[in-house]
Amino acid sequence: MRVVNIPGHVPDVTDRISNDAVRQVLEESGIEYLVTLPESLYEVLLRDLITGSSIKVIQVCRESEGIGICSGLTYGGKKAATLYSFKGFYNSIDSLQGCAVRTESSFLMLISEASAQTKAGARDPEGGCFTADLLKALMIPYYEVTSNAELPVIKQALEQTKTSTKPVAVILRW
Amino acid sequence: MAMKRVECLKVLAKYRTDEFVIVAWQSINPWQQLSPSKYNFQSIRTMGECSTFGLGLALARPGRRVMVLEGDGSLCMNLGCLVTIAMAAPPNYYQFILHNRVYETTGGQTIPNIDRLDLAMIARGAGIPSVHRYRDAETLERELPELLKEKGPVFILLDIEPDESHLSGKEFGKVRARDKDCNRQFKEALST
Repeated sequence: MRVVNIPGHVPDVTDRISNDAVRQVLEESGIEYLVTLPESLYEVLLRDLITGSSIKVIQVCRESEGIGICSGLTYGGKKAATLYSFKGFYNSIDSLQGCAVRTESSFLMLISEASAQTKAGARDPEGGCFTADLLKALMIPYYEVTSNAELPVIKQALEQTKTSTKPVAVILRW
Repeated sequence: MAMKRVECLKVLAKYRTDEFVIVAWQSINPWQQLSPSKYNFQSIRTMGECSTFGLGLALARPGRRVMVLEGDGSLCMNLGCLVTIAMAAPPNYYQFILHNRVYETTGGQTIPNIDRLDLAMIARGAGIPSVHRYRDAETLERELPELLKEKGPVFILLDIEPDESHLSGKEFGKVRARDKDCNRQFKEALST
């Protein structure tokens, strides 16, 4: 398991992850399908992707659906990703284990949470503090991103899906 | 009025050509016997994701029909997928729901609110344009060839009887044991 750790790194307020920067990296990465549900932290990103991007956006009713869809897309040879809040990830765990890990489907999972914004948030279950621990428990490789400068990790993670037999996650801490 | 699972699957197998077939739980063994193919994918690890896996595959491979064979209990665990399928609207997607009114794998317990539940109506209400229901094998056989020419997504509810010979835990262990190999074979077939 590889985790990006930048010791002592404190995200510069001006370099916090922005919707525009994520959009640029996603488009450059070659992702063909993005399966998602709306969330306020990436509202602008999603609107822009739906209205003006070559990435095909599939909107689902509940996040767990997206795991099945991405597994099917991956079996069919497409580059697929999910974009959910951390709560959506929590919702998807059974599907993730049963439908992706057991079938050896590897796709990108972008998990959004707000906990980088405050110290209190980093300890708050409502802010997503369990995300990394749950990924570890599922033995799913993951990266953590807290600034625009780290966003190219998304491309690295997508590259990793070519050889991995499990999804690869990137936690976006806005 | 309802069909036996096997007579229903026999009709589907008869008209299957080169479709990818995503098959769940109790239909896995009879389907493998009736229509063995490297293009069969068995879905047993997660109830409710058979339809969404098929949806992803249908979107990825628009040149070939995808048939999903799923139980009513499984669909009930993921009813929102009908809305998602209707919106994504892959024209090569055919969702067959084997409607035996029980959770057969766990011993035949009744699905909640079964006497009022109308899955065909829910599918229509979700926005799926083509919805059909069959209670006997003769009518299914008569209409299936034309039905498979319809533009998807197509939802087909198949009323079947609960099967007394459903897989026991031990038999299911065998299905699980070959799960990985079977799906690896499917993946390899897709990549060639």
